Amino acid sequence: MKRTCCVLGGVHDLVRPWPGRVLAALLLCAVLANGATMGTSSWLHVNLSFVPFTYYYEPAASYGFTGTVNGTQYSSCPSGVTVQGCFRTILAQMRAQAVSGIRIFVTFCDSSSLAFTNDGVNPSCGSGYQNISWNPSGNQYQAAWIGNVQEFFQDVANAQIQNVSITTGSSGGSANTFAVPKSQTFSPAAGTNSNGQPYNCSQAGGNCCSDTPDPVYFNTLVPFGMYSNGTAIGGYFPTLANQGYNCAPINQNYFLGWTNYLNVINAVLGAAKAACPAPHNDCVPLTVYELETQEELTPSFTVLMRYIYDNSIPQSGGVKYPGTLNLLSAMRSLMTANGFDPGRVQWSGVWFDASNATDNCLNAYVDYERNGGLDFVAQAINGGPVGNPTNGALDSYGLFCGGTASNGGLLTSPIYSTLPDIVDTHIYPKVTAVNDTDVQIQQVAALDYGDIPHFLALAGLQSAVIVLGETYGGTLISLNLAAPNAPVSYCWQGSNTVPPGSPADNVAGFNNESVKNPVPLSSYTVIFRPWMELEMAAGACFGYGTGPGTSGNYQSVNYNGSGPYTPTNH
Amino acid sequence: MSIMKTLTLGALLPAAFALAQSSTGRLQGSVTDPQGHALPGAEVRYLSVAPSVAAGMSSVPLPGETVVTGAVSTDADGGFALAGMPPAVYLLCANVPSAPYIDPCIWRQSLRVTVPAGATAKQNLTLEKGVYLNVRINDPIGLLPQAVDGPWTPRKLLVGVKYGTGAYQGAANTTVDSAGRNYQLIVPAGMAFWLWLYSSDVALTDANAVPVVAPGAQIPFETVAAQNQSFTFTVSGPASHAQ
Repeated sequence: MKRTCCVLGGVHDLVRPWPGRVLAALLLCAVLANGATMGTSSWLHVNLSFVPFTYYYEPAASYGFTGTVNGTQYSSCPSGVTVQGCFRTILAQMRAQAVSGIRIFVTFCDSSSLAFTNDGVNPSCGSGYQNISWNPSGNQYQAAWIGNVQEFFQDVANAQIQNVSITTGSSGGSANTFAVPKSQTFSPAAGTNSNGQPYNCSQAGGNCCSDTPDPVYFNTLVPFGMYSNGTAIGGYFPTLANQGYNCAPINQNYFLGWTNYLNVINAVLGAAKAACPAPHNDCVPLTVYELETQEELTPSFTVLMRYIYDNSIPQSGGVKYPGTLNLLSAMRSLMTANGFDPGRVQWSGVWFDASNATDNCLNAYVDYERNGGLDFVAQAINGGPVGNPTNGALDSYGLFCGGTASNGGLLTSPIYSTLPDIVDTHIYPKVTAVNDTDVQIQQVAALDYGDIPHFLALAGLQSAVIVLGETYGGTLISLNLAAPNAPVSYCWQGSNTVPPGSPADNVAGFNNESVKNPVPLSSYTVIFRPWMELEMAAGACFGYGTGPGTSGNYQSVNYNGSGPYTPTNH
Repeated sequence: MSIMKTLTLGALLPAAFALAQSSTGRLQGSVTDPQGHALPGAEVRYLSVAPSVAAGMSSVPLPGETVVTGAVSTDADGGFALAGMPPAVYLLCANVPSAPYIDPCIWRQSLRVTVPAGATAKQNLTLEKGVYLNVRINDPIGLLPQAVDGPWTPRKLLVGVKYGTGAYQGAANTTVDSAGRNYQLIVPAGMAFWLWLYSSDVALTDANAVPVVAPGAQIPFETVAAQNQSFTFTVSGPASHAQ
């Protein structure tokens, strides 16, 4: 039996600068085949995307909740419904479908979620970390913002959804992006002139990455320089080295600062802790299931390691020059202080697909390269070698294969820590065309999921919780993104159609993955966390409140609990 | 990583090799020291720069774009030649196995050269002479792993250098013997560094039996041309704290 649904949510790789956006209500449509229950011990969480905390009590239609699909703009909440009202409905619908956890993006400097607002005393984001402080007891705007965060968490608790995963914003939006002449930027690797002054990035002695543009763009929430399109400077493919961690420009003047960053994270954790106070009437106390400051780390960009052990602006976190700020340790301390598991501080790994769907190879870590994002996260945390090995090579289908991790050419992190007790990978089994058969898609899914136990064994993480942190909510998002200038379509039956059975095939491949692993992934405790969907009744996309042929406005991650993402645990 | 195609050209081709197709180009050059002396046996690595598209904070080559990567060794005269290269801008790095020359891609910037179709691009590389940093860690009580660090070896000690305003290069754990471990890194000469020792598992003392600050010790030193730099430390016991 085939059923139809539609998707609402922020999207893999699209959660980056959305100027003026509040909550991206992109509509993603799918036709799901009814499928089997997932795995032997599975849970269902859902990605909800950004939450416009600043406007939590404002009309939803005025603050985001719209998205453009194939040139048509949709509203995802009826007029007159507040952001809170919209979320309350969504959360109730999710829980009714066995959703036991949500993931949200918490931004601090986005116009819709502005944790730091100028109250006449404390400047706003972008004013430099020395001038900004987190002081909600003395700043009415900060107090209002964290109050709204707490109200949202209370709404989650009231919906009986226990687990909350938090990804803090990697972007402050375009309003918080600043262009700086290259000659005024500096890298951590800068040498000094005879006067003891560091060379800038326009000078050879500045030792900046060879791809450093002019001007360099800085964002309030990002500790390194970027291109105008938000791409990090110092990736392997523009530079042939793995030196982004050392050579990417420092965000000296516009960065929020790690102390402010950590203080506001602490406040958010405190708000989660305070939700559903005893005696817990009609609500459940919350658990912060996962906490990450940056999603989808990728080995070609070692500069992303600054989110774990920052070498560029540690003074903004109270560590003196030339020290390295151990952000992992600091965040673990915050989790502990608020009563949550410090092992749940994590950075998710990106998943690599090949242009040939079934291509696979071993990389320098003797792991399957599809796991390269997970390898990077683990190695960066434990002080191992990171980057692309110089004696490796791209294979014919785009995977970086072979090489050795121990003969130099790779960067290493200056600090090591124990690995988290959670693994988060964003995995979209590659589907190459609309005419791919269900069998083909299942085979690719089985291949992908079969690689994960291999990684777990290498990293000694067999006891970790496994989160499939982003996966198909019913669309081929990454493929759409990979096509330059292609119209983005999120509808299974739209102009960029894809096989309608992909979500079910995704789960079937997961359940059938047992070929090469004595302990298949489906025998682990696994959390599927696809993007939220809105029900589609007749095969056409529609926004919240506008769907044809429905008696209500449904939100679905699993077709009202009867689709392929049906977990064994509720 | 998205759709990419790879062509690996690892062989040193004879200079007389004619261009097989005008759609490809050649790259040739030499590797020398600053005095112009040839450096035979140097490894030259190359990688083409493909137009890319943003994918999150990362970027990937545009679908269908070719990324060419490979390596070639210089001959007895320090020369190298590569044929059949797709026209593109290439990045070049170089190092000399078993000699302390500075790889520009690690310590400076990679060179860029444009290889045109049907023609030969020439690019010489000059490598500065660096020095070896050698660090010996005596481990009389056997608290550190008894095998050379691999990528999945649980770390109990990191050794490296900091420089600039926070840049870091790790030293490779080259050997392990019954009495301890050796680390090595090639670093530029005439430069200021901090030796970085990080461990939250073991405590260390220096050659004078003075405890070093844990967990991240920063010991300043400066390198001098033609003088390798060596340090010795001893594991004195478990770290007094856990992190």
